[in-house]
Amino acid sequence: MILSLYFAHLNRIVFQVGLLAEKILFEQYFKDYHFMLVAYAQKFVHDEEVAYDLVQDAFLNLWRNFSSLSNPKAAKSYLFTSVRNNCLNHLSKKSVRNKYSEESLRQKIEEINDYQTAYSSLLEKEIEEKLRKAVASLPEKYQQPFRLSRFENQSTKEIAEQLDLPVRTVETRIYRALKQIKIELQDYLLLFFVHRRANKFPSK
Amino acid sequence: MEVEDKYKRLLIGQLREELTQKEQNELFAWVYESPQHKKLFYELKDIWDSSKIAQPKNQDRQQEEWAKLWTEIEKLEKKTDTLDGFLWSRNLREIYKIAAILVVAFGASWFLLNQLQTDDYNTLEVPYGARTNITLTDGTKIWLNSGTTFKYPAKLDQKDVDVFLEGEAFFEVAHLKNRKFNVKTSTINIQVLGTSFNVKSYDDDDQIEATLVNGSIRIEGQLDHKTIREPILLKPNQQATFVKGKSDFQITRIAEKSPQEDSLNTQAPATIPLESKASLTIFEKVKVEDYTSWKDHVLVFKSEPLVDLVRQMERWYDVKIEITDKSLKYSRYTGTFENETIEQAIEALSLSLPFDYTIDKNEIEILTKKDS
Repeated sequence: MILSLYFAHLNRIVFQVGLLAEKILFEQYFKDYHFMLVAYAQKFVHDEEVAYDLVQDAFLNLWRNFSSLSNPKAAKSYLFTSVRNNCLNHLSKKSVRNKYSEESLRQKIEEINDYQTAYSSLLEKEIEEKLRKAVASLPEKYQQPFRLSRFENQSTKEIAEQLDLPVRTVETRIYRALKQIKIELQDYLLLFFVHRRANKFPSK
Repeated sequence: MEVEDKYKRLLIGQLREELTQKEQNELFAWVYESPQHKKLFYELKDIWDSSKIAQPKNQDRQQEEWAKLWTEIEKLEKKTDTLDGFLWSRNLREIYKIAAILVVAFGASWFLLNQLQTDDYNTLEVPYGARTNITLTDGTKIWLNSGTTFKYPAKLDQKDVDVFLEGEAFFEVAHLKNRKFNVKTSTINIQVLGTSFNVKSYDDDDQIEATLVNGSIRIEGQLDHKTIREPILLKPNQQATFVKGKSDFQITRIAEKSPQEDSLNTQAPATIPLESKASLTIFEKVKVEDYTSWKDHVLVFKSEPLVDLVRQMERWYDVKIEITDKSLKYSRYTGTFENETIEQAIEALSLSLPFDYTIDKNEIEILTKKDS
């Protein structure tokens, strides 16, 4: 009797220690991927708050299956897949569907499906540093409008006023900035003609 | 690709979410009009979306989100705690957790997991007319030529990494201590230790080539069910050429490979091979650039029979070429194509050894030259 109580107690302790170890690892994944995943969700769902919620759900899903997904690669690909699925579910809600035009909804869903099957985003390739360098190495006249537009969330109109440039010029400069980054990161960009899937190689 | 200013502005407007319904429809009509447009749109959008992480991170928000998430998880754990108060299942759960701790905290099973997941492969298929390159997570760079299928394991940090190739690829394999990197084709296996080399092994070609640029590779395998008895060790600038065939093969070593002209010219038609005899030839001092230039989008051919050249061009340009005049099949050609379109390429060939040809969309027919 005492022995079984003792074991129950031991179980309790082991359980707590186990939870702690899992928590440490899980928190590490959260730190590593949270920021990327929010940006990733915003690829498909433009509302930032919604993106945060969808990522939160993805981490909850990961926790539920953590015992089988604790190795880094599995966890990472699970998180990205889970975010895509959550975005897809979100977009298929009736209340959300009304917010978008039919055409842009169709485009978004197609984009998610493409990322499910064929492409992978720069975000998944963990080239944060290269991306940062590419932005930093832009010529000032492209970099400024790009930063204002991307990071300060100013409208093209506001940027045009601030820099005393025509709106069209601002737009063209942002376009140029993207083109320049595209050249820098060509090696990492989605391989378009490539068909990508995980499968088993037939044994010969 | 040159993009009209109008669409540049629409593209940016879409990313900025400043477009009207009408403008959006106009943009998407353009985007889905051709694969190039769609590719450009996806790439620019991905850069735009991804560049979000290039700005300073909002750490406070992240911590807030973490606190929220963990509270949620603790609630979840408590619930399952009372639900299955049943001691035995609790125990099972803990045993499971202990296993997870072992895997996670001590990394002991890391190795084991590797072994378990070795059959998880990614496949790349490069269609005719396209070429691409990839960098694997271990730093290995691979260029893939047209019409190539390449399979590689999702996990590369194992003792033995096997990749599978049908087609042509140039490898720059990252050197990792104690790791064996093996390239397997339907006929030969190549074992690598940090090195760069080219492998050409299309199932519909009669010839397989392995060309070493630097490092060293070990080739073993079988040709038409005859195992190569001793593995072949290649040194830089050597090339092993295997010819598929019915009879026994022999190994020869040749110091110099075919004469090397620089301009487009032809040689007297060689005799048509009567019997295909399997063979393995090792060429010394080959000009390796000739065999690897395709990765820089240059098609080089040296004294190549038209029938083989045509097969390369079919892949390169994604066209169908038929040689109606059989006597032309074994005429040999030397030259390079860089920026030529298929029309210019065929025209150039037809000038050096006269033939007529017809082009109908992507089907080309090579005919006997009519006297004019």
